[in-house]
Amino acid sequence: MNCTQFQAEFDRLLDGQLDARTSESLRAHLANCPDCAAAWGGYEGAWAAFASAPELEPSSNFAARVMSGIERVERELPARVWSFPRLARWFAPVTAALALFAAATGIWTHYESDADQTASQELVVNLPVVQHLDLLNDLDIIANLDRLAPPPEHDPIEEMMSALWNS
Amino acid sequence: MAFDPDTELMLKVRRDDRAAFETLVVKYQRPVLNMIYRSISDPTEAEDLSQNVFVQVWKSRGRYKPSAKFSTWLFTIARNMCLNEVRRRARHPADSLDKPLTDATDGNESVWQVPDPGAKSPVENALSAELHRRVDAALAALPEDQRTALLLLRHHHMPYEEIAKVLRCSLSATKSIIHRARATLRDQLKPYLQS
Repeated sequence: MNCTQFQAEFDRLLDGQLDARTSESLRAHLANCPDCAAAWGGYEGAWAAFASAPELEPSSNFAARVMSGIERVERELPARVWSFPRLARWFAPVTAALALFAAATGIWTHYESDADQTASQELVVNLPVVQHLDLLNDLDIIANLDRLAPPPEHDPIEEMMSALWNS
Repeated sequence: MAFDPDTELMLKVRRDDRAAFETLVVKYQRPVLNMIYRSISDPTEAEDLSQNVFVQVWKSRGRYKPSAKFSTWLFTIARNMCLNEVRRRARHPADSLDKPLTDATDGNESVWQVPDPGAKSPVENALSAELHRRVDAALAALPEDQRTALLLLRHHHMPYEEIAKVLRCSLSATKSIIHRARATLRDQLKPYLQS
């Protein structure tokens, strides 16, 4: 093992993540190479200084305060059922559902109005006065009398009324 | 699949077992506290934030999946909350002034675990304290990912693979991060170690 290979394994050697055979080989190199020994000394020394630095000790009531914190969370939970974040989370799916519902209702209404129109046509067709006007061959005109523009030159209704009046 | 004891405890926590949760809190309070303290350098804030980390763990217990090691999940939450706090302090610099360490005698404050004064001479103690100050300064100057990797190694002896998950990077990137962090630490501490 050369010096470059040895120094590449510094971290795994420090962290005890090498198998016994590799560790032994590295230690053997270390014993015979002053350059690597110096490099290893600095590396290991810095880590040892870091590892021996004092730690912050948690307060004696750390866990108790956490437990009271979760009690508080549990108590506040029902009050937050309709909080804004929850509503925001449901906003997109609810909006999508409403949009789908509106679209489905529109389609249904459209077909429903077509059905109404057909029923109206049948009603109009069966009226004796309409049969009298002899307009049965054009159901669209009967069904859409109010939408026709401009009005027909010979208004059949007016003619009928005139005929009745004259008779 | 064999679960580790923490995973088994966390599965109990998912079923609202508070005793199991308290066991996990007691076990991990110190590494979480120290990891956060090294990032925000304020013992009181670090204690509060650490407690919030555990409260967040409780609130998120339903989302825990046993495929992840509990410690990896916990330290990921801790790191995210710590980063949020660091960002918040960056936006509000007035909050980031370090408060002096209070004399903690009422049990409500975190305290330093100091070595037995009788074990070293006054000179040795002074040198040791100076070295520890330099270690703190060197650690604080490291990039966040390097500092977190070193702290996870030190406080939890976490394997590289788990550190990679917490840092959300590859194993090779994690090894590189650890190596660079240690090299920086060595360079920063070299004059003090030689003396």
